[in-house]
Amino acid sequence: MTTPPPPTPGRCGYHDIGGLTAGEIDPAEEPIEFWHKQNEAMRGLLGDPLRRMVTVDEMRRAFETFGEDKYNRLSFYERRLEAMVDILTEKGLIDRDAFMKRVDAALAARAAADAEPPSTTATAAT
Amino acid sequence: MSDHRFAPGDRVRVLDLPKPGHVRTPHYIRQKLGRVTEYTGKVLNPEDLAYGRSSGPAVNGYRVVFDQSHVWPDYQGSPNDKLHIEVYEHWLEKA
Repeated sequence: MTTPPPPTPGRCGYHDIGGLTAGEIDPAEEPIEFWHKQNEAMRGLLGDPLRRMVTVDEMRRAFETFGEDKYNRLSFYERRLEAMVDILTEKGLIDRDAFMKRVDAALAARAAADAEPPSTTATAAT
Repeated sequence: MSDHRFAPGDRVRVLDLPKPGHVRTPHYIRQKLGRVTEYTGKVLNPEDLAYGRSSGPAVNGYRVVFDQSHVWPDYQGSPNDKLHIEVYEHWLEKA
């Protein structure tokens, strides 16, 4: 059996890390947050046989083209969320700017609610 | 007549295709020599589906076994250790 030549360097994507030196692996379990479940529920609906708006294959392609910095900066669920937004945008199903405006408005509404002093329920004695 | 090119027992080499974009053949297995253990059937090609092309053609898939000591030149484990991986037909050639 002849030794095959090494694969062409530079051809693999930044996500294709099988066999590369990765340093120590932190075995700590990350807690699952509620938004992670919401994220996956949305993914399930967008990809179901009725809608087929975002497939897992398209999502993989999306985060493989984020660029290496963004890919490494985002967590697993953040990558999936960003990829969904990218694919929906690409297909013209949402407008990214309009979507981000709604996200900002929702965040602002939450911040405002947090800042509001607790309502004073009068407990006036009669 | 079967329309798939390989059968269990066939020796195959994984191609190092210059295919850009989303592919399903990891870099570490390219150009490695293995043996087909199973024909896994015909599926729509994920490398097309990734770009929204869902009208086919469907592609044949295989389970292929490799010696770990062949895949990883500095492999420290048992010489009997194997790697089983699924590879699509267009990534394989007869070896």
